[in-house]
Amino acid sequence: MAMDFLNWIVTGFFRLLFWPLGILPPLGALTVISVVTGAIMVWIFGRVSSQERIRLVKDRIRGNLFGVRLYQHEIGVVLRLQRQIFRDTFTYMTLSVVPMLVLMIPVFLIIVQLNLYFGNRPLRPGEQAMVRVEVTDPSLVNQVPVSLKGAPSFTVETPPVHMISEKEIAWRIRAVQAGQHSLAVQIGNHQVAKNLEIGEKWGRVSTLRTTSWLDSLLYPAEERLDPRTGIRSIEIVYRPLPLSIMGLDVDWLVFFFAVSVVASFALKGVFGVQL
Amino acid sequence: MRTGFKVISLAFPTTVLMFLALGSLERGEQPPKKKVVILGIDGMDPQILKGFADQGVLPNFSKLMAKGDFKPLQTTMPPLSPVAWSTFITGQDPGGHAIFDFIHRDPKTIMPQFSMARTIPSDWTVTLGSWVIPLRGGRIESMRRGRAFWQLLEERDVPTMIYRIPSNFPPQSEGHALSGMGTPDILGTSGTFSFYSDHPPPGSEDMSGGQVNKVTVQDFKVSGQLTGPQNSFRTTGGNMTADFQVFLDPEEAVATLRVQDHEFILKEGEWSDWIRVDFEALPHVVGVSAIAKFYLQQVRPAFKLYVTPLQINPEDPAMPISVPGDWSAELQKELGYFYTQELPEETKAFSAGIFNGEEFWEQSQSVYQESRRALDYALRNFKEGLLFFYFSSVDQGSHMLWSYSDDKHPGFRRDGKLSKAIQTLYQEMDEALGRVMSSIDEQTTLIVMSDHGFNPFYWEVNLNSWLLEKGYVQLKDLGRRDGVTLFENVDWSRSQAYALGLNGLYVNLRGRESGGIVSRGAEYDRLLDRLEADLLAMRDPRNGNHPITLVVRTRRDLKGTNLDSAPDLIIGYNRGYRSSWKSPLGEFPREVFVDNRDPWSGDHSVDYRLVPGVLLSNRRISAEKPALYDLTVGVLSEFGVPKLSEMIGEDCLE
Repeated sequence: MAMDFLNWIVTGFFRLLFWPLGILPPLGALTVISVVTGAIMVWIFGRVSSQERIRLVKDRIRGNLFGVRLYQHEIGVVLRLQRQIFRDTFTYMTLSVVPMLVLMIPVFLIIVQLNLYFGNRPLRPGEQAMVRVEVTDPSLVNQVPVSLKGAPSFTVETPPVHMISEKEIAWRIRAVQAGQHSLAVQIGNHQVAKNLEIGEKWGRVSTLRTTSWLDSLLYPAEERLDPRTGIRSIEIVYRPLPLSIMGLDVDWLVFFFAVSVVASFALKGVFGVQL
Repeated sequence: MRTGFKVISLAFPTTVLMFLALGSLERGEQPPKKKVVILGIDGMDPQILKGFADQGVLPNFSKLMAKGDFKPLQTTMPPLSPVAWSTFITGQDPGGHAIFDFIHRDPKTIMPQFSMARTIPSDWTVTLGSWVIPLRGGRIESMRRGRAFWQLLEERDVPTMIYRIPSNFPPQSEGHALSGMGTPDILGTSGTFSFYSDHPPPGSEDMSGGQVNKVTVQDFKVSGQLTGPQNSFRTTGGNMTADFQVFLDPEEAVATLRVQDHEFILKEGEWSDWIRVDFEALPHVVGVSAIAKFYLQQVRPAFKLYVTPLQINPEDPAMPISVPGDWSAELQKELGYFYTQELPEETKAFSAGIFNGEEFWEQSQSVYQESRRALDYALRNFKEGLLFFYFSSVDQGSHMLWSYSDDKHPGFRRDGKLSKAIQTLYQEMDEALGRVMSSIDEQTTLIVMSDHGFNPFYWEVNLNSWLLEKGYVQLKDLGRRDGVTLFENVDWSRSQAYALGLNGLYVNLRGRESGGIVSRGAEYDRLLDRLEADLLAMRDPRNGNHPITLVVRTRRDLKGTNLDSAPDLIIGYNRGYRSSWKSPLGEFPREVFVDNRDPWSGDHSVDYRLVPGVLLSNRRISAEKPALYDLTVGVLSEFGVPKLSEMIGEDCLE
């Protein structure tokens, strides 16, 4: 329950955040988010790290590096200074560990949310996609009637493929109407819904709805499934959202890290933070 | 108003007007950017074209014929696509560009060789255990000699876009070019399909053009492997492979296919989209990328899955298929994945009985649709210079579907839809022509041309069997005529000549062939005289026809001097005849003349006078009987570029 509540809060917050950003192209929105993230990260780092000790260690490393240049012909001195630099570097890294661990939590939550927006794109009207339903018990695969409902937003193009060895049932659907739709899986007496996004624009795309709390951490857009339905997960296989800079394809995660790190370094002076 | 201010106030607009006037003058003096669009339609026949045009089903061709000009276009001898297109490309006859057939032979081993390109492996490698690390890359070399006409244009800064012209692999250009006929699949072959079944057809072990794999269906699941290219990083050799699984529904005719990280569902009779398949040569370091389409032919009672030949992935090409090198990736981005192998219409699976006519038609139509989308892209991006665009559908369709519309054919098949297939192919070309005509202006020169026309292929001629009957060839064991291929049974110490390729006949020449017995000079000439006379006198005893109407002596009749790989004679068959399926690869079946019942029922490897191509243009065609090599010069002239001395044609356009 706590997990679902956390997901609901964070997802709701990001929906609010993305509401004005939706008018931008995806790369523009990702740039804004990355810069803001970089700023927040550097601010948090400043609050949770021992800034005074970091400053001292960095000054000492700088001083010793200067010493290495000054006494480059004194091999004994150079070796002693290098030993000191090595020790201080280790101390510097140790001082960064705790704030990094603290930062990991918001970064993880942000990445999971960004993945909803930049990992995949909605189905285009007319486009095909695969819908996979994983069940908890193999007997459910071929002994209980399972069907897919949701017309006219999409059409079901194939009969269900019952894959007993995989505990899976799959269909191929074709998107028809743009919009945020619900796809219903009827299994026995239970009916379970799953979001289906169709449209030409980029936006939030939830690929998986699951019973697993661990998976729901990674796919937080939809409420967890009730395990009593016999369904472990429902997945719609969307296509990745293409992002490119001057014709070069870029991975959104790499772009996010690169921009947020650059932003952090650029803004450290503004916040008076030692990194 | 003060005078100084007045002067300034007048001077300013005057200067502006002068600049504007100068600017417009400058623009007016610039010659308009020359544009030439060539639509290359392989195998389009002038008689068939005229027939359909007269019926009123080709409105755009009719319009072009009325507004411009239309004449048959003399092809080459032999009238085979790689030969004819090479002549158009270089303006030379086969003696100049050195392409004489689809296959040539190594005179030392009498083994057939691909005529258009060859691979030269890396000659500098290091062996580490079972791994071979190449320190220098291998290369692929085009066997075509002579300069392509568009290279002459590029030298004069004329932009060019050459889309899939045959005999241009690896592509030679400084502009934009995508290779066509001659481009192999990822295995290095001209296209090897894969077929997976729990009940493979009988005799499928020796199936030509495809790999048949027996699989088992266990718990409604099939596991198989796609065979990739040889792993040259391994001393042990062997092919790289990629696993796939098929999950069959227990009741419905539908299945889920899992290929690496791709998963998709197919109903029986459905084709997949293009699927990327990556093969690892050196784990995590070197790999080869391919693409394929899957066709779930049948789920039960027998499981049948067809996979297209693995194509070179245009997104990440393992071989040079475009110029610039990344143009194929750019095309992929614009158009999606596409067939990259030469002649992708699946004629082999149809001939092998894996496909029926309807399945061939569906697959070949998907190839056409890809080309048609590419034409739209090419026209959108064509601003000036030369655009050449190639279509293979008429040629491949005429080969495979002729027997549906010809009730005299020994393999005549009755089918309401397919009897109209060739007409549909011509109508599709008419629609494409309409698209081109609507996208060009009056100043643009439009040329529609084909490399050759078409004939029915009723009867096969086993030319090697005829040579055997006439005593030109001797076998080591006369009782072993069947099933022995590649001249293995030939006694070279007593054989004077042999046939190889579709139209080639070679003398077993001393000093050239490793077991040669015929001396150069008088003996060679006397043998050719005798062969020529005997070949022209040949009769089909079943109907009294002369199966051969023309014999070309390459060293006497051709103008070019690149004759090292030339056959000594090129055979021109009569209408309805063609070399058999077995003879070109060194077999000696018992019958010389055989009815052709193969789906491959139309052909053009005959006497070139019987199968001219077409030439249409919105310019008047000045030559009375234009030939392919004249058109080369004609295109150069459109840009004011003089022909090279080795080009044998004359300008044929006004």
